[in-house]
Amino acid sequence: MVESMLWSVGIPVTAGGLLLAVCWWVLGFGRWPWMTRIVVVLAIGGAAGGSFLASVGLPGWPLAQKWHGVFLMAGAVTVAGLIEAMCPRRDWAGRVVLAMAIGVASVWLLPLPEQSALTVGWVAGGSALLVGMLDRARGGLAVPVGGWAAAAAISVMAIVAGSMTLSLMAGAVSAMCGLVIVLGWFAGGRVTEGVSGGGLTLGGILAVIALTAWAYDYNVVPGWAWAVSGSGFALACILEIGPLGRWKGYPATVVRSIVMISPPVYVVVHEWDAVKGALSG
Amino acid sequence: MYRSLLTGIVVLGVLCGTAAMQESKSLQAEVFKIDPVHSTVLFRIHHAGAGRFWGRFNDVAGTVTWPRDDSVAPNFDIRVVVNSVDTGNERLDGTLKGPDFFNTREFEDVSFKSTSAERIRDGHWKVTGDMTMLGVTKPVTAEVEVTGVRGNQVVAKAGWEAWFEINRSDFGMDWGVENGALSDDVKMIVGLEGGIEPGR
Repeated sequence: MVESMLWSVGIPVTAGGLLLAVCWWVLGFGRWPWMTRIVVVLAIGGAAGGSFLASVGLPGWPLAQKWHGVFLMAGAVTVAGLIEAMCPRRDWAGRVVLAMAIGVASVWLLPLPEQSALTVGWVAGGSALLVGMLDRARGGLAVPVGGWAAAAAISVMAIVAGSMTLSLMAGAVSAMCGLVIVLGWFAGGRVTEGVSGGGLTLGGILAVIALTAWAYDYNVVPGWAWAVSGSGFALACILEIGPLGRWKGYPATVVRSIVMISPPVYVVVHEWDAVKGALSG
Repeated sequence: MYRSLLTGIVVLGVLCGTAAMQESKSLQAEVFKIDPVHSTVLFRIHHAGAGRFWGRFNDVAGTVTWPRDDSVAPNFDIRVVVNSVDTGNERLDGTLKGPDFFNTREFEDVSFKSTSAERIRDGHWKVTGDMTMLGVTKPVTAEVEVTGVRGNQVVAKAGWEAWFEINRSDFGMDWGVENGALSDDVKMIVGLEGGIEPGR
């Protein structure tokens, strides 16, 4: 398992970290806001896709196994994220169109067994839209912190469910979010509002990984655990309504981060016995 | 006297005819249905370049078409239900049923169908066939020993043991091959018992 983690998490995350470091430090953090966002999209999408490649290799077309579509979806969501990074901040209609495109793409590219295409499309597109809008509305470290926790919980649930590749993919996304937080902190200093972008990609990829792991799980992990792992983003949206939406600064970031971290932490604590069993093997 | 002699000849003729019929019948290939209780499919794989561990499949079905005098090679048509994988560890079984290995959500079984055979010596054959796993079909050659046959014209049982090796990556099962977490080559030992019963 250590070798697998080195290949499927260590290498893609190191590559993504180098990309972030070069673009943020060498080219200048915040000089081109679009570049700051694009780099985060590439780092998160690359971590998921690179992890799959390291574990399985390049899937052929047509897909030999349905779940290999998760790699193609990681690519599609990354492309959508790159387009979203270029969109003006207030272009919500454009984001809705991109989320719909992700939903339609998932119906075609990810025909999961025992899952209706409608469910897969709605969840993938809806999650991408939700996290993408939250990211662009808020910015800062809150979304990467939420992504780090949600991806870590999905990774743990996936290994309990017996899906090693999907667990490593989610683990790579989690580690990448952690690097975005740390490098963004150092690169941006106290001005962490600039660490934004990647929300649409993050939401789409996490939904796709969780849906796939759920589809191949024989009820080892309860269905609600998959949904709750990513529900922190939905809860955080409540903090964007009304006067709370104008609340900024460190206390606001901390509260939002806690709201996003709590559900995945609850899931892992609730399933702790199964997690211990899975990690001991 | 003549009547007794004639009767004797007729009886002898009938007996010889019956024996001849029986002889010719025994040369015909019969279809043995696999007995899942007394059949086993074992696999062995190298873990992390260290220990070798074994697992088995508990649900084996199919037929073997074979003449009891072994004049022709056994013809195997075997199906193994992959959801019956059993390593003695429930969590490991779950992982093996998952998408990285047997992917039981998409693929119910592994199958083997004979295509040709070559006699090695009495009771030993080299049987080549098409093995299908994860939707990929590849030729596989197994060494087969006829382990025994018992019974009469109505009820009979026969047994075979086969052993062969596959590279699982040939079938698209790639997990851990590249980084050496699990070996690519897998040794298979298959013990089969088939039966013929009245009314079949």
